[in-house]
Amino acid sequence: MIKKGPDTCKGCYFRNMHPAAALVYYMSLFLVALLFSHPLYLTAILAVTILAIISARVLKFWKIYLKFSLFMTLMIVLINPLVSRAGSTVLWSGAQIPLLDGLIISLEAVYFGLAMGMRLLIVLSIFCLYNNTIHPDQTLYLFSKFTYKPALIISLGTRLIPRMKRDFENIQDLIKIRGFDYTSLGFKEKLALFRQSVNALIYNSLEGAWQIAEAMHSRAFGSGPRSQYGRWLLRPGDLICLAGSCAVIAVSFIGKAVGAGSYEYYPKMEYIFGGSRLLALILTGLLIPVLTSWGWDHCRFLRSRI
Amino acid sequence: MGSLPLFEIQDLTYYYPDKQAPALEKINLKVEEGEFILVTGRSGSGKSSLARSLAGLIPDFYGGKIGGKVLFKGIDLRSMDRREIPRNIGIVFQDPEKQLVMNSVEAEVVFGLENIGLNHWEMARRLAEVLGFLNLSEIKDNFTSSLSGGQKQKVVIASVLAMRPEALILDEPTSQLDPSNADEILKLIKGLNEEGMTVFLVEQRLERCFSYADRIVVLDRGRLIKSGTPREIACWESDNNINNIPPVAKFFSICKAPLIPLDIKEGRFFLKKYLPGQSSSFVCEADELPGKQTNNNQDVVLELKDLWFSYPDGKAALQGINLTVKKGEIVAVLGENAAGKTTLLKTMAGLLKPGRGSVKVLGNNPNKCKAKDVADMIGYVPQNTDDYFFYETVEQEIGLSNNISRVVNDKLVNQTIDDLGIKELFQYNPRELSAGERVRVALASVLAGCPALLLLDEPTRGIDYNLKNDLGRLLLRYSENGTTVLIITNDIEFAAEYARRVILMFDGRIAGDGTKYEILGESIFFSPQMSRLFRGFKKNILTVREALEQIKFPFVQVKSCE
Amino acid sequence: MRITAKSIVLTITVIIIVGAILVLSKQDWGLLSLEIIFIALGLFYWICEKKSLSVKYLSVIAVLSSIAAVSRVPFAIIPGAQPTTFLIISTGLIFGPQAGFLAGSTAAVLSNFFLGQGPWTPWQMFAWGMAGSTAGLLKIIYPKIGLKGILIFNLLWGYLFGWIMNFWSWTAFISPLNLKSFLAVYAASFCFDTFHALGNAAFCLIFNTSLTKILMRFQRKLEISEIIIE
Repeated sequence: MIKKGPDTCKGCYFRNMHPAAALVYYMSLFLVALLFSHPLYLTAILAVTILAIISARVLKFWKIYLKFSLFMTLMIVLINPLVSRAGSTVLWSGAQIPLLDGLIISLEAVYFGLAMGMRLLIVLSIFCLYNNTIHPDQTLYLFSKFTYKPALIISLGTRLIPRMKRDFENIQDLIKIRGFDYTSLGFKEKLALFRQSVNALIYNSLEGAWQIAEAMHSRAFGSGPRSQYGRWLLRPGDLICLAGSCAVIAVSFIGKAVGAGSYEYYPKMEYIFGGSRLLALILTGLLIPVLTSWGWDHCRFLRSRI
Repeated sequence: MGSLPLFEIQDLTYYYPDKQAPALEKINLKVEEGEFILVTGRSGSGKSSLARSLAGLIPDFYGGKIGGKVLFKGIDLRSMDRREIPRNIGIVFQDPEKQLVMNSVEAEVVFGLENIGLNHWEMARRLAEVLGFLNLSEIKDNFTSSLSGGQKQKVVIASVLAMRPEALILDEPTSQLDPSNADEILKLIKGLNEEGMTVFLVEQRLERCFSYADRIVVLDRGRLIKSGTPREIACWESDNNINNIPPVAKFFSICKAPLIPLDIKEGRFFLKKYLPGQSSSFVCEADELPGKQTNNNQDVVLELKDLWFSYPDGKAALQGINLTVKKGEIVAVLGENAAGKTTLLKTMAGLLKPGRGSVKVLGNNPNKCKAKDVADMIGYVPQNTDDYFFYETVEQEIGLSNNISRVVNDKLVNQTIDDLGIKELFQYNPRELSAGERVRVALASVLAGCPALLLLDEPTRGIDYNLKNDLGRLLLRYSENGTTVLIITNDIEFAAEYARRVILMFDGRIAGDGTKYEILGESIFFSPQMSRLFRGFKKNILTVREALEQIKFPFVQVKSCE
Repeated sequence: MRITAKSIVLTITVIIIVGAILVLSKQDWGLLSLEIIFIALGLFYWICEKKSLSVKYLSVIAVLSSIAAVSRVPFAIIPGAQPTTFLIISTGLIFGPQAGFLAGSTAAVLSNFFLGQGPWTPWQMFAWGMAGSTAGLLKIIYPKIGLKGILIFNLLWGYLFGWIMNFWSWTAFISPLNLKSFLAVYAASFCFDTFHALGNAAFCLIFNTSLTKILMRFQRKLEISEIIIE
């Protein structure tokens, strides 16, 4: 279901961005979310991410992500207040639980837990965006510039997997044809049959590996330094987004270094609207792709120039 | 330099690692620039090894022992730079699936160019050229997994051509394709040759590319046994009773025609020239549809009633199929790709559950029977069965289905094993056998169960003519013993030779059903060469054998060979 | 001027590294641990890139990691248990630490193309990569390791894998970082890890003998390359 994503939003801007521009944008969102634990910042970034998800038309996949991440989010929201003793507004205390000597649950810790849950939500949303707008092939293309061999292995894998699925189905058919029925066998026989069919698959795939290697060898693979063909053009829109994302990354690091946007939950929560000037700067940068996406969708004049 | 041949093979002998028998033995061959060489031979004759040694893959990639030399323009391939070989010699293999490396068409084509370190602009130029030439521009951004088999092979050829080789070596490039795609690829290769490319084509079956070649080379057990023009080979093959040439050439070479026509056009021209206006003079029998024996009293083995099937993606693969097959019939199912043939077979075998309608095999519904009982009734040989083996010895592999069968006709089992010539392979690991032997084992492992209904999906794809004939004879005998056989095939000559009834499928429906004379004899595209040759002269001739029985040529004395 | 993707990504990497140094003292541990993982993965990959690996070797690793990755998908419903770890360990045992690392890290990326990439991807790459490479090292140190040893190793990696994976959720989302919270996070995943370990052991018992046989055969095939000229 996740795999189908990139095709469902074929016409949208995020899908048509240069993969490097899109990747850097997602990276900037990710970095900001991890650099700042300020609740206002986190809320704002979550809002931006959701806006991006809407304009990339992947809302439906995002809902699936939400369901999947429920357990992890809950764990974070619950563990934080359980383990922190730093909050000053105590809501509840007492119960002796082993390892957690003297349980104290404070309002601050609850807020912190919620903020961290939000952070996880942002991170997952960014990955939802990434999974549904950038095809694996594009990421691999980018990474192959740095570590070519691992990227090639992964790329080969993406080609092999659908084939293996089909092979395994064929093998199961063959077993049935030969008169075996998993349901009518004892556990031991079932296991043995399953093992034989897995072995047949592995064997067949490994033989295929030899043929692929031969085809690669015959096309001069590994014969010396290789070059790389630039498949995508960097357009003005990509450049603007790239510049914006880079600025966001730089500004956030500098801001963090000078202490802007820092926030203390303990012992008592700080004023929540502090440090909003830095946030405004960051938001401007992060909203660029969302705005260009709007232009791409709604304005023909802009579209030809993006 | 001008007089040097492009390739010169001198005394080439080669052993694969750990093998006792040589794959190639004392081969000597010269290939001139611009030639179209066709290499043929049975499976395991060393054709592929020869192709690989011309591309420098043997011994560079395979290892093993080697003697003799392969010279390219006078330079020993082994002393050539690893990077220079692919720039001069391109090689295309059998299965496009196992040659594609990248995900998108564009990336696939530039893959080789990146490997030889070309700059961006040079790559862009070559990409544009080759995609334009092969008409692939429209699918440039497609994923290779979404292409058809023929398109995939075209992409492979494009990626090899982008390297701008002087010689193109092709190792059975069409064996995994259906006839129309195979034709397209072969015509493409012919076109390349006409523009100056040296072509070295390895093929097991020569029906389609016979007339394209300048020279045909025949290998047997690693040795080069014959080399000559197509006409010379046609004579030689008919003298030596090798059944590997197109029916037209075979017919005329058996008739000892003065000049052997290589295709239907030449053949019909020849008929008109030698027998002008008197078609009745060499026709000895009246036009009557043979094979119309009524077998109404025999038992129904297979009965399909209003059968519908749709795949989960909504595509209706079978639409209201009604079909009755009687005991002992051999039925060929023809039709283009995606006409629903395989789906039909899978539904019969109980692997797919029909959406509507019923399947009855010997009165039972295979979907409701236990797998064991189905296997007793139905023997199903899917495509490329030899891909997967489950056990370590051939004996176990065959026993796997043999054990479960309750009605084992021992005599027939043993005969099957003898016919397929696998008795001596019993202790070997099926995975280590040669391609031809693997197919035999795979066939035996299904046939040995002696089911009442045999379903074969493209059994002749990628096998050599020997095995094809063996298989045909085996099916005839099974049918005499009361087994019903249903074959999906694209091999019209095979259908004409061995089937009695032919079903034509189109778009999930049955578009034609009748005796082979009714369907094949009156079709334009789904008709065998002999039928097309004698259209207007004589009806109801589908095979060379029938033609030889019914047609008497006045020039029997003329000797054409040598 | 052509702006290449390579130069862009390099620039950004430099910015991030400089930024990381700038704010090291004030940085959250979550980001820092992720950076460390990325640097570790980068280092491993850089080593692999430098080594000359043959095409055959690369495509065999591609096949094995794809099998490992696919095998994860049908088991996604059962928490923890999947044959991936076992397959990667077997690859490492037979094809060596480098192949083990490559197969493990590749399997992580590949399987997530189906199950969804996430912040867990680099951690899984690291964890499975380590499982594969330590298996390779184990074989080098104890060439005669038997089924029992391999079984224990598989059990062990069931827990280790989970512990590596927990590290990030602990550092990035939990505060304060102390023994108590550490134990709380690890206790939360103990059940999963046990499933994982038991699954590994089961797969090892079922498949080890036959798989080893097949892999050994191909490993020999890779090594044969002697060319004798008569």
